[in-house]
Amino acid sequence: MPALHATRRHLLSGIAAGMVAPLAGCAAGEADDVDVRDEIRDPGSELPDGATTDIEIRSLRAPDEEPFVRVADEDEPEEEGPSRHRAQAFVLDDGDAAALRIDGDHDAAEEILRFVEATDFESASVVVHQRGIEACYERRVEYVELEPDRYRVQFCRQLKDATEHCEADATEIEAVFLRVPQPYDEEPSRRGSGERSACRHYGEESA
Amino acid sequence: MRGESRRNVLAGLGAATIAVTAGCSVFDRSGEAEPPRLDTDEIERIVRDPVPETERPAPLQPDEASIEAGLERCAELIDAVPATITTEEIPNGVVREEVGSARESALDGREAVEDAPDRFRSLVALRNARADAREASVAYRAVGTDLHTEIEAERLAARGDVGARLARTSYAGDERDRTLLVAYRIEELLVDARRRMNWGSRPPDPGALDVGELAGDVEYAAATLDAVDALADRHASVAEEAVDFTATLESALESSLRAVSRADPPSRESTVEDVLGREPDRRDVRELAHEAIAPVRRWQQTLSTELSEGRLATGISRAIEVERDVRALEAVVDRIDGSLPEPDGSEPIRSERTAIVDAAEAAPISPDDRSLAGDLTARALERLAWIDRSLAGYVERGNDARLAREYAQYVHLRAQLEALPQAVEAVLARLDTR
Repeated sequence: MPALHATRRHLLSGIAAGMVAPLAGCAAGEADDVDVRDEIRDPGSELPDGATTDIEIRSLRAPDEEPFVRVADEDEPEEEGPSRHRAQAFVLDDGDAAALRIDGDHDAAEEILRFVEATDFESASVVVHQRGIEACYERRVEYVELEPDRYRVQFCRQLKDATEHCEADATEIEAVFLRVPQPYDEEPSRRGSGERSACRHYGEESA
Repeated sequence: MRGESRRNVLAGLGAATIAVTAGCSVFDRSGEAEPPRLDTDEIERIVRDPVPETERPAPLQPDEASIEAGLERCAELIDAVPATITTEEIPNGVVREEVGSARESALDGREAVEDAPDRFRSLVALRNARADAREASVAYRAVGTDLHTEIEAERLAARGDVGARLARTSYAGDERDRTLLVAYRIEELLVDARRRMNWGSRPPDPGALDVGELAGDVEYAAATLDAVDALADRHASVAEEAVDFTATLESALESSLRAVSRADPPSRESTVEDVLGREPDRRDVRELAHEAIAPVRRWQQTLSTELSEGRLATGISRAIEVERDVRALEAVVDRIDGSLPEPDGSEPIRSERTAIVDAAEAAPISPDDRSLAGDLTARALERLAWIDRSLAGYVERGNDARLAREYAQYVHLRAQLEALPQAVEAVLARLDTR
């Protein structure tokens, strides 16, 4: 079989559905202009019921495997400050936003913090996801599913352009900030995320 | 066999109205008796006697020039990709590795072409070698260059070429059986190429690897077209007084449709309970019933499609298969109604396997015969080897296993092989009567 078939399998594992939003982002430690993308293209008619693409996204990558975004943790004494590195964390009010910290030297950190602080928490929330990713891939958001006590995000991964320099066996950590049009009084009891190994795409024959 | 069951198989299942989900069991499995697990010694005992390796018969041997031309094309494509790709050439490490890996696959493929036992198999192996080589070369060239529009246009053109070539399949030759086999393999190769080009979805923003894959598919089609032309040319050159069998094949295929229809075998709506008159209480019997009914269920669609799309050689091969599978189903129902031994040890399973080998040896059709019948015999023996590998896998992994499914597969394959001569005779008689 052709060696590239692993890639084909990746592609085919995501059935036809639609376009996805590349995560706006930059690598930590680099000249990291935050790529601002306020909406993602309509992913078509095959979204799950209740799913939406009406989200704003920022992201930041660091060339190591340790999470670098800290959020407030109600279980910790306030005077010790926010210290929890969480894989998925909710920023639900101005206090949470003010407590957010981004470790390390990232040019984009301030802009991302401003993005979070500018959120109108009466109508929206910010959810932070931190997870590893292979250096040659980029993570995208397909959609989120939002209800008053439920949050779920569907990510997918896509190979970066061939001209982008990266090591095949290197992994990085990525923090993704999603501003979603759903205010929460507290973290929803039903929350989760999924990630496809390939991004969905239209599958119709072109002729 | 109970009369009721035989009637069910042969004469009507019109009352069957229970919906069947394609590919899913229609059984209630509660309370079903599972066969005991066999240890690896017992499993090894079943497959201890090796069966001779069988290959499908080559319909004919193409000219050496067609192989040489394919190898030249392969070399030209491989040479377009450096053996060592630098980070300057392809900065993305995954893409760099994948392109290098595709190049390696092409080299392996070229070796397989050169090592093939005959020119027919070299010709067939060239398809993958060329596809891998072009996949590598186009992916390499597509780094930083947008080739998608160009390659997609090639794909559409190639797909049209394959369809057009399929429509031009010739059924002329001086030996009917050989002509049928040549035409069948040509149709098979073209359908395979068409399927590959239609398969899967195309990403809206394809990268270098995606474009490479697309180009590989196009090259596979091009190599297939070269292969079928080489086979057709060779066949035409050896036919001294060619007869056109087209009308004969059409007529025989239509007769086969009518004949099978009269037998009224199970249809897509038929359930196992309809056929057996009851639900099996043993898992191996359930597996066997499913194994035997599944290939019969779609007989009408199978034959009608080949006839309407004009794949006459494939249609005749399918007609033989349907006749064989209907007879095999009758035999299987007989055995289920009789006293099919339970697979509670190695012996009943080994016995079925031995019976397959005996049936193959006793059959009037050799897997070497250059005919559809020879091809079907060879494919049955390939199936035997496939089931054997499943058992060998348990032994290699040191796993005990219940062999309900494998037992069912052996029993059914035996029934198919034993039914094959009659099925061949029935279909070929329709060719003779025209």
